[in-house]
Amino acid sequence: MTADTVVGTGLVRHGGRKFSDYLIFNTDHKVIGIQYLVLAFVFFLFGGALAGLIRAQLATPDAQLLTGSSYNVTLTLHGTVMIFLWIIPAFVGAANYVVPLMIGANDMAFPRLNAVSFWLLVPGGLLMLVSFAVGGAESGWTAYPPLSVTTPIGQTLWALALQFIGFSSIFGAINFLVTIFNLRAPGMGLTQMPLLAWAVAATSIIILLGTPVLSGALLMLILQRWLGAQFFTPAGGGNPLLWQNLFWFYSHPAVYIMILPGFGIISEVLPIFARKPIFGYKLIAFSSMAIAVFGFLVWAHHMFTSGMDPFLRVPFMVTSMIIAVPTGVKIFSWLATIWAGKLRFTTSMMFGLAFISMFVIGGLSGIFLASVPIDIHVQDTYFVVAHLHYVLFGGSVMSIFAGLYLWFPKITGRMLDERLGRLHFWLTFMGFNLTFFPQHLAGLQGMPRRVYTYPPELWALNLLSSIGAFLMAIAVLPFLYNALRSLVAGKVAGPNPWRAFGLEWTVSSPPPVHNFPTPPVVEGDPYGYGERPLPGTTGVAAPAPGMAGGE
Amino acid sequence: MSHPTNHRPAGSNVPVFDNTGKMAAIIIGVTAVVAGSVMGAANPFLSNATSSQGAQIDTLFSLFVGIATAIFIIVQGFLLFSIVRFARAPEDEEDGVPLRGNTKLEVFWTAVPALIVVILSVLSYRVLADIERPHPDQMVVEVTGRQYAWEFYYPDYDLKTAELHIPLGRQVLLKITSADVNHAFWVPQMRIKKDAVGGKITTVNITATAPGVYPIVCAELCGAGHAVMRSQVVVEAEPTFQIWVQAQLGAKQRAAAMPPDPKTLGRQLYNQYGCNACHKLADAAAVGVVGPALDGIGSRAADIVPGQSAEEYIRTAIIRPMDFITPNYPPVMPGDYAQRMSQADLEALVQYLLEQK
Repeated sequence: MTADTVVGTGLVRHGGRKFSDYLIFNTDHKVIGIQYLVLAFVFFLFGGALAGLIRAQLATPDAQLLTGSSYNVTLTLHGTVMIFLWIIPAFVGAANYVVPLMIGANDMAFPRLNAVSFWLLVPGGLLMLVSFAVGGAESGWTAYPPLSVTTPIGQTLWALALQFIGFSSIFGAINFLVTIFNLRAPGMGLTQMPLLAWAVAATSIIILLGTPVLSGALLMLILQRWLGAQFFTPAGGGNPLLWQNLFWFYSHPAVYIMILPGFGIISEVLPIFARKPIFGYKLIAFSSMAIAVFGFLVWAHHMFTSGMDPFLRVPFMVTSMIIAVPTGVKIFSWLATIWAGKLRFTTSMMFGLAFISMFVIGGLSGIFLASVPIDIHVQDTYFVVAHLHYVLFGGSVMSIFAGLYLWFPKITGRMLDERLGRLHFWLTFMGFNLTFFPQHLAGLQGMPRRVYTYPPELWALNLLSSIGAFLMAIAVLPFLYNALRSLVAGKVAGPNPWRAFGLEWTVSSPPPVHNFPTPPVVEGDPYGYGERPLPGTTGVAAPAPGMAGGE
Repeated sequence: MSHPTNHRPAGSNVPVFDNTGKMAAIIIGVTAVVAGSVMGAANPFLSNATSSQGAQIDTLFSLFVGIATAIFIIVQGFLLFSIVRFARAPEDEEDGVPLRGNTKLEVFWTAVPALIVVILSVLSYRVLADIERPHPDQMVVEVTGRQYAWEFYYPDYDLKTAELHIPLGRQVLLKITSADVNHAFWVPQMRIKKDAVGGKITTVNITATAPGVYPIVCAELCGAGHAVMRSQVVVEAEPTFQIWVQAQLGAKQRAAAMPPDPKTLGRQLYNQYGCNACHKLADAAAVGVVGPALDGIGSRAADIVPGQSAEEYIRTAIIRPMDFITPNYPPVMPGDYAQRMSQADLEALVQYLLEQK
């Protein structure tokens, strides 16, 4: 048996060389990474289709395509799917694939637990689809009681589905932490780790501390719906705000679960294509950890208008403001990273630069929301919808695409086409801004979120949004075509097509089943551009012409 | 290595911050300050609030717009400058300058944002304390949200209404609660929002500063009719407000003394119980779209459920709405009308609907 042999032939295997290796209980982190990414992308398309329906309904003030409950079901499923079945698992998939390679490990610490994590996500996703088939949950992804205890059966399945997804997340977090802290190659101290590993460690700490609280809250919701418990309804002595506290105790930190890995990816992309070391390594790593801690101290800013204790709003306002600081530090560090670099505008880099540009808008609108008096006006309006999409699409999704374009050659051994990549990028970038920028204004002018009809004076802004959404939908097509075509007909990538530091680029593309046939040698952190020669690059040809985009 | 130079030879010394870079930094900085000041002063996004609380929120908002604009320009400015200036020449395979950090710079861009957010917090707190300070001359109005209507009760006058009237310039304390799920009471033009939560009374002050009629919007998802859960607040000068109160009280007394004709009563009940929020009915000026329209229901009701007369069908549809759901409509009608309506009101409403031919 060599380092590149798939182990096992039945339903339990390790390694992926045939198509069927990807359909079973496979314990290879690279196979699991691909399983996560493909499943998540399918849900991205599904969630995007739901968004298309929402924007079709809102293209005119009084459309009749989706009204009442069917509209509420659609927005609930859109939010839930995009958060729990696209962004979070896409990051888990990417990290699963690359983090062990980046730190010189042959696999995750617990390969079977890793497979269990993925196979918990599958029933979770299926249950979510079943909930839709039986009528769906219709109280938003936030599922505030008492509404969420009075709605039909779909809500129960929604909660059960999230239980599966939550446990998948918790097991994954344990696995990442143990892997990152115990399986690094000899010579890789904590400060030689790639920043993505720091980000994934911080994310895993948040998941480990936060997700069990969501699981508990969901169990209470299920008990109330099934057995008539009265946790959240005042008539039985319960309190509707209890849910809001429990839910946001998880779900605000969850915002960082959905952005920290993105920060990590950007910290990998920029040095490679700016040909410079990351600027301020320690401060970036430290700010990820600071966010992991502070992320747990801001949740009540979602409840400023809820009638919570009036005084407590003040400390929560201050913490919510302060958490902007570590985020700002990262943005400035990235700007300094590209300063005086030799920038190469590959598609990955374009998504990476767009991330900085768009995320800062989401960050700035977040400062508005942190201020209690301003929040009184904009809470639960389209201003919030715009803000969260600038963070989650302008931030998280842009970074996922930056990472996909970066690591696709590593994962498949083939280059993506850069011209199609640029088309994908520009359509996404323009569509995104056209969709979401006007929503700030609609919110300020009086449009609440989660409505299927609105006054005619808000028509122009909504029409712009709907046109933008159409562009974003079109944008996916060149990506899909590019990915599928490149799988079979893309240029052969070779081990290190971007001439990048980082241990993942020292092995073949795709890597051997057991990653490192010989133990990797760690020469320093993976940001040695301009400081030391690339290891093992003797004989590596100049970059293939197809990848030198933007020039 | 076959590759010419994929890392910068040691000792090469390219200025990181040359004159072009310094010039760009100055231009970006000046633009940020100028644009921030202009945007903050002009605030094109939010102005002309019609309450004193809203005016203070708008002023605070202007400050945030100014600071956000400045930061926006700094980040985007440096980003765009770098993209243009530091683009690699096609044949250039060298690396950039290996800068790993600069302690002074890093302390600077940690400390300055921290200072800014602390200042913004203090200013926000001052506005918050101000807009929530009670005035001794407050008028109290109790607000109840229910799927999908607002109800207002004036304890001073023992008066219940479906739209809110408040006197210009006098502080009104709204005591808000919900009869069912969570709602949020929002008057966009006044910048005032507060959740309506069952089992709890939340409060908010409004001091109207401009006469007019402003929409009340539900901002918290409350079910199928959330989007149409609207009412309005009418702001009028104190004397006009008093005339309105007296007119309402007079109408209430007349109604108690002499019941109105069935049609007027029916229209009133149709709107009072919130039927209008979901069911279109021209006779009652109702435009809801969540449930089936009820125009002409009196002619159709007998043919909907086999074995039920028109009267039986209408009564059942009100008190046990889940017995029969009109195809293509969501099963969302509240099931508690039997408890909420008096027998007399129920019969009056049934008779009114029977007359809709």
